[in-house]
Amino acid sequence: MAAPESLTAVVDAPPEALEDDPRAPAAAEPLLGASGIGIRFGGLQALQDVSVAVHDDEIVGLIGPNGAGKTTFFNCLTGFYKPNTGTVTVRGEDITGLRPDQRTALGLGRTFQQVGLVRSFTVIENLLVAQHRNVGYGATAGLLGTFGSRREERALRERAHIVLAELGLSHLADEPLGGLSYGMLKQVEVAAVLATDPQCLLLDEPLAGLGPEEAEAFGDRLLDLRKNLGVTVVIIEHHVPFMLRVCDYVYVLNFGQLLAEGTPDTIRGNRAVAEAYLGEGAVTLG
Amino acid sequence: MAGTIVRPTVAPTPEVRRPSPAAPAPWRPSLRGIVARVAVLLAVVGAVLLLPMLVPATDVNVVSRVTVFAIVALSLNVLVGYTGQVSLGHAAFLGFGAFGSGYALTEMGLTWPAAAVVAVLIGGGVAALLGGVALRIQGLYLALVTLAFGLFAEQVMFNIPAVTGGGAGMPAPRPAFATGDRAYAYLCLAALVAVWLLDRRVTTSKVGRAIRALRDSERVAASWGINVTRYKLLAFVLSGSIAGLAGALFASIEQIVSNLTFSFTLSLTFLFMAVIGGVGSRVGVVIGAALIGAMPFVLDRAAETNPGFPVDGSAAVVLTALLLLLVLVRFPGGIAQLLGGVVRWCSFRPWKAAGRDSAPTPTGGDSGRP
Repeated sequence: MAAPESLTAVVDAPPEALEDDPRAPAAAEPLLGASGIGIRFGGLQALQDVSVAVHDDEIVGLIGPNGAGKTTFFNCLTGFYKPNTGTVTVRGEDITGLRPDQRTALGLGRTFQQVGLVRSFTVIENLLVAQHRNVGYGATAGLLGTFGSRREERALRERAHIVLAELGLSHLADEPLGGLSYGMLKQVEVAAVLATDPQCLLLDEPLAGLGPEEAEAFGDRLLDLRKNLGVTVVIIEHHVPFMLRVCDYVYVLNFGQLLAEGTPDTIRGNRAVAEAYLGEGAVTLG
Repeated sequence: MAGTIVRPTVAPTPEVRRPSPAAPAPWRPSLRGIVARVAVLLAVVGAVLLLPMLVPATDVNVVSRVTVFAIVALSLNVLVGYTGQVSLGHAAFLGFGAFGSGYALTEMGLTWPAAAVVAVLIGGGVAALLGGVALRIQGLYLALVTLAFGLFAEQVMFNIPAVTGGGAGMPAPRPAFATGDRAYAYLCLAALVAVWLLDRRVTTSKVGRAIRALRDSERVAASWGINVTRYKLLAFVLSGSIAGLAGALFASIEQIVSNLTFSFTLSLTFLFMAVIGGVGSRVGVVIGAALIGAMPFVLDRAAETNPGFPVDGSAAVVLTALLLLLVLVRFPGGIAQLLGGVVRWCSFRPWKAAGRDSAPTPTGGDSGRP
């Protein structure tokens, strides 16, 4: 699927939004693709004909006003909702029928708007569970406590500490989640999802509960992560300046439909986007 | 670009692979601490091991009975403590195990160990059926289904004369290697130790982590690649299998299985054992089972030996209810909560809980706090 061509057909974005698409030559198979996603809840058409393409090592943003369907779209991508129309693909392979845990095995890792962590565990335990699918030993070996399974448990713990260190959260390792602030929990959640060893990280409002400086630091960290670990990222966030700084490419959802897409610069100057966010008459988001 | 990037699982970069990646050195007790802990543990183990020898010969079966109850309570703890589902029909699993073992021993002429395996398989199989239901409904509604399941088993299944011997009961002779009361009590204790160790392995390995993660949130667990269906069923099968084993042991204590035993009240008693002991805690649940299992008997004996004793065994129900209230109001973590320090200390950790007390140093330069 050559993303730009098929997208122009379904997106009524202003032509200039696609004009200088830096990805146009990247005809390669997108890491994560969705085409024509539509889902209906009773009388509400929550999503209609939404198509996105996420390529390797990109940071892709998904913005839009409240209720635009951003989280619903995430749920379709990760298998928590079954879309009525359209397909989701990972490297060209159709995964629309797969369960969430099967999609995780294919390298999709996501966070939740309400912190997706196991509340009764400590931080490090959360990172241990998150590595579930990378645990090589079988259930029986684990129950017997074989030498191999014990060695692997140590390796899991080691790796959990590496991931925490990567996000600067080492000092929280043995903390119970109960004592952490909301912003901290969101950070730990990102660490847990990273521990699943995803190819593509889907972050649902990772900045919630963070102050402006913390948000800035998180953006830097995200860029570092991409550089060091080669993770592709899709972010939902309201914080437009942050998104325009961090993202390589931005999709704008409004009322369940794609309103625009393009590089941060084109989005910044897009009149339709500004109107959706700031009301009629607004010219730019800038 | 993608090809040059190093993923953590593939080949850690030297930069990421620090000598010791931020993992703090584990806490170790001093030599004196180790000696003290070993002494206390040996004393506890010794006391439990000597118990069948110390009680009067006529009461040894009570020890076996309480031990079997502890096994059932541990099996119930897998459901209540780890998956967060309430079972109000756990006596039925015990019954399926007991009748299965009795049938295998009497009607099929199997050896005792083989009959125990049959009991484990039956318990696990029945639990798998119930687990299938649990995949669809949860919480209160599942509790009601387990209640209905327990009553159905008690009223219908255990009254089929062909497999349960009807009112006369199904004989379940003891194994040749443990015919005496004391020997059989040790067999039960050995089974309790085995189940304890198995449970311990479950909680510290992949399976247990996955199951406990499911309790908090199935969505989060699924997003981390855990197959929700499989692990939920596994928890039920594990619980049912352990209860089945307990059933086989239970059947041969009195060497006859009667359908009147596996009542709703017994199911409720198991739940009380788990809650009063402390849901989710092995030590707590076993202590709870011992306490509540032995209470009626101990009160009876006390009333027999000293005439002035105010109550007898029938007061156990009231006392249990009072204990339950006390736990619910004052100590939601049950006995385990009260013994928290003791348990931590005995497992070679500091008396005080880690975490909040050992909070990190205030936002330091290299703490990396954003």
